Amino acid sequence: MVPWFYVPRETPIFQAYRGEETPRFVNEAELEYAKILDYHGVPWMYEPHTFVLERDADGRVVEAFTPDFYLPEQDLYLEVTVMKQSLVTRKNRKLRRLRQLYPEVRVKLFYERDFERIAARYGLRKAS
Amino acid sequence: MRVQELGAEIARDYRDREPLLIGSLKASVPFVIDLSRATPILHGLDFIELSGYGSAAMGGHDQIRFLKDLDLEIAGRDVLIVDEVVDTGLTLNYLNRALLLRRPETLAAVALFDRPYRRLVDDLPIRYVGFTVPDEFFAGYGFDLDERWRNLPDLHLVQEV
Repeated sequence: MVPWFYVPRETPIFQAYRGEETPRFVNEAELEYAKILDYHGVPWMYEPHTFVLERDADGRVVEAFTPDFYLPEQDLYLEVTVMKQSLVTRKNRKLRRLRQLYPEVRVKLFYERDFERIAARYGLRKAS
Repeated sequence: MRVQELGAEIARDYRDREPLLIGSLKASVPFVIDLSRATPILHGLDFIELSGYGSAAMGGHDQIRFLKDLDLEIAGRDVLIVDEVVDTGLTLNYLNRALLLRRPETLAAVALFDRPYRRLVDDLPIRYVGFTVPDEFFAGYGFDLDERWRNLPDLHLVQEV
């Protein structure tokens, strides 16, 4: 029996999604980016790879970074955030580290401002 | 002035070839018309309109599609897509793929504004760029704010409050 307070999250049927498991987005901005990519027929994957940034002396992973999206046709990773550029110091540091350790990896970080621009272009309301 | 330069470049590159300029409704209309007048060679003019993502997000169709298709055949022709701005490149990428299926002789794109720093899709056929612009909102010269101000003859920087 479904409890009365159960509200299913939106689960669009993605056509350009190239992953195997149903993506579980952590915020509305990720969902909107996924829908925009899908809408334009650009193949995408959700968090398919994790990059190790630091290990301790025993080889255990201390720090890692998992970009939100991977666009296989573009060979491009995309990390999205709804935070202002000035408030994403930690994420920026991880990104710098990623580029140092994996210079062959193409990754972009889209900030709140980028989402606002894209939302304006595509007629969306800004995600809360 | 820059549009005049773009027209002259196109006229030089497409001399004796009669390209077809394709504008994407609605924002590119003033730019397409000015560019056409600034291109002193024989060329065709046509328009397409693509569905907007916003209406899909509100529960409509879930894939981009043509709301208005071309009136002219493009097979064997030199095609120039004229866009007012390219940022993520998603729309131009779709248009490029869709039109290539119709086997034009060549296909390239003209963008009045370019924001390459926000690109998500590479390998776009952008051959002519008016200006690489900063991350700002514009109104006028076809650019709208909630469907207003497209008619302003000049571009205006929108101040955020």
